[in-house]
Amino acid sequence: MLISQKNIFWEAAVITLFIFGLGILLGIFIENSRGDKISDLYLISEVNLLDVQIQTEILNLDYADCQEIVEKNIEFADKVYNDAKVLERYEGASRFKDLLVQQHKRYDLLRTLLWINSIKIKEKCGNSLHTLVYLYDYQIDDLQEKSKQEVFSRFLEELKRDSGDTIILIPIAKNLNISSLDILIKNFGINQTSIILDENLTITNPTELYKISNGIKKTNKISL
Amino acid sequence: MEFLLYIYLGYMFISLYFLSFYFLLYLRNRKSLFESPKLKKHFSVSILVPAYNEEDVIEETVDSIFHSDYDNILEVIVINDGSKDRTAEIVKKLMKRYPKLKLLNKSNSGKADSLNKGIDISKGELVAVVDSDSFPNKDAIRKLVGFFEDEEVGAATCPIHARNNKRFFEKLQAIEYVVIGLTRKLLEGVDAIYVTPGPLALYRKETLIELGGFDSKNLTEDIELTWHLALKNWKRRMCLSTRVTTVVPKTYKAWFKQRQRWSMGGLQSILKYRKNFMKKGIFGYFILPFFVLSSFLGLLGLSIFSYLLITRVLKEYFFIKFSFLADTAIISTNQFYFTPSVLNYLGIVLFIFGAIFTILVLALMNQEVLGKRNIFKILVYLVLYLTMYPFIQVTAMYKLIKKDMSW
Repeated sequence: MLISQKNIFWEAAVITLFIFGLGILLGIFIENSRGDKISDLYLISEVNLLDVQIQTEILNLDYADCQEIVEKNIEFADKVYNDAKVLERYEGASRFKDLLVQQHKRYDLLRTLLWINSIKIKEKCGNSLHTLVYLYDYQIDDLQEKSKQEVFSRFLEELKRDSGDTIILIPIAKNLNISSLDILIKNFGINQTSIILDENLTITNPTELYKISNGIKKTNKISL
Repeated sequence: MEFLLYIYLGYMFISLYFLSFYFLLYLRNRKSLFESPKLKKHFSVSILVPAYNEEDVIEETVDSIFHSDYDNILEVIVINDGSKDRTAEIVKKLMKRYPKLKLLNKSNSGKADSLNKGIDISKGELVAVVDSDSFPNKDAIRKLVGFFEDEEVGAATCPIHARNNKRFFEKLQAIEYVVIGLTRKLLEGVDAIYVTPGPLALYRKETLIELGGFDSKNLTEDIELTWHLALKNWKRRMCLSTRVTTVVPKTYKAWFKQRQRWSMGGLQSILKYRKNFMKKGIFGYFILPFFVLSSFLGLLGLSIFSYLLITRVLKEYFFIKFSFLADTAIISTNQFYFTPSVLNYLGIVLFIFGAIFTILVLALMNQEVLGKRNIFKILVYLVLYLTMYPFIQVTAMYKLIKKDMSW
């Protein structure tokens, strides 16, 4: 026969609080370290952006050639795109802090600068590169819209894989209240998920995505 | 999403709490778990065997009862609840072999009512209930009687083991019975045994009379009576050093129906004793809230699961539709990655604790667990078998609302 031990109710609660608290603290620690990793990546990207911006200025002074500047820009855009994938994965696993939302916003500012820089390069060097700006909504609940965005992302990923050396792919969340971006996209009359090819073709529907592929193929042939 | 996060964390906290609770109870009582009181007073015992269409097993059940090593069994009363098969005929034949065997024939009115009729005619100081498809060990009655030396004890029971455990599904039930057996013993440490189940339970007769016997409206008369005992501060005891074996459902359908009936009985009992919620000692403060919480969490879990499943299916539908329109790949290698969140880590810790607890229980109860096959069974038990309960709960609730009390 067991001796009655009703204090076990409280003891179990204390042990649970301890283990659970430890788990939560560990979770916060993991998320913080992921945030730190993103910060480090961002810092490198920020330096790289300054570098490509200066290169563009040098280009304006006719001290450099287009080919080299375009290559550097694409290289940088690829790095930012890969950083975005890491950020997306961490965001998917983030539970406690909105630290990553701020990181996302900082990256979106960086990508907006990259877009502007790319426009300037194209003004100077002509159609030697394509900019594909993907404007989407960050953390949406609408299932249909979410699926549409996933299809757009998948399409762009495939396109980048096939014609990566001529494309600067810039995904930017358009609903994070970035004023400079808002001004820019207002100019294109955009209010839904869209892909802008070279600032002159805007796609909002999955059925029209082929126009982007065709547009890129066509100009690539002309350049050849 | 934040709402779901809090729910997940709540589930994890509660699960972790009960695991810690059981671990603590085990650590404190590990040396005395298998002890049973020495038999001093040899109480007279009447054994009741309610039977309905049990021609296949009744002889073996009666044989196992009469093989008991207890020396003061006054009578074994088989209450034939209007069987349409040869149950009564078999019992009559057995009466020639066992002079203490009695047969009470009555029209069909359910198990609880049969037991009450049996109590009315029984003469023993203690009354044992043995299901007609259950087989007490030779020493079971003797070991249980010892508990009644304590005048505050109203009922005693022992672990149930699966008699048929050859098929995979039967083995899963066998694991469950073993786990339930040990956790029930652990609950004795806080005086919270919540059921003295039908396969074998021994009661003080005067207590049964005081409580008015079994509730014939309840589908799980054993749960209801145990709650009544707890409410009236009668102690319930559990003896781990003996066992009773029972025939477990062989098919999924039969198992589902059995568990549905248990759930319905549990819900009926909750409704009956709802006024005692958070009142009157361990029953109101622990047993009843424990059942209410289990039912609530099961239902909530099922609702969340359904919500997530439906949204996932819808999202996939839209995704496939748009993928066709855009002529993009439906599956990409890039989508197969896993970045664990804190919930995943906590879930893994919880699962490991749960698995350790189950293995510990099986090892303690002398079940071989270290073989690869057994580990697989334990995994299936933890991951699939236990997750069926919320579904059973929902159907039980539906049947109860419809007032469909069929077995």
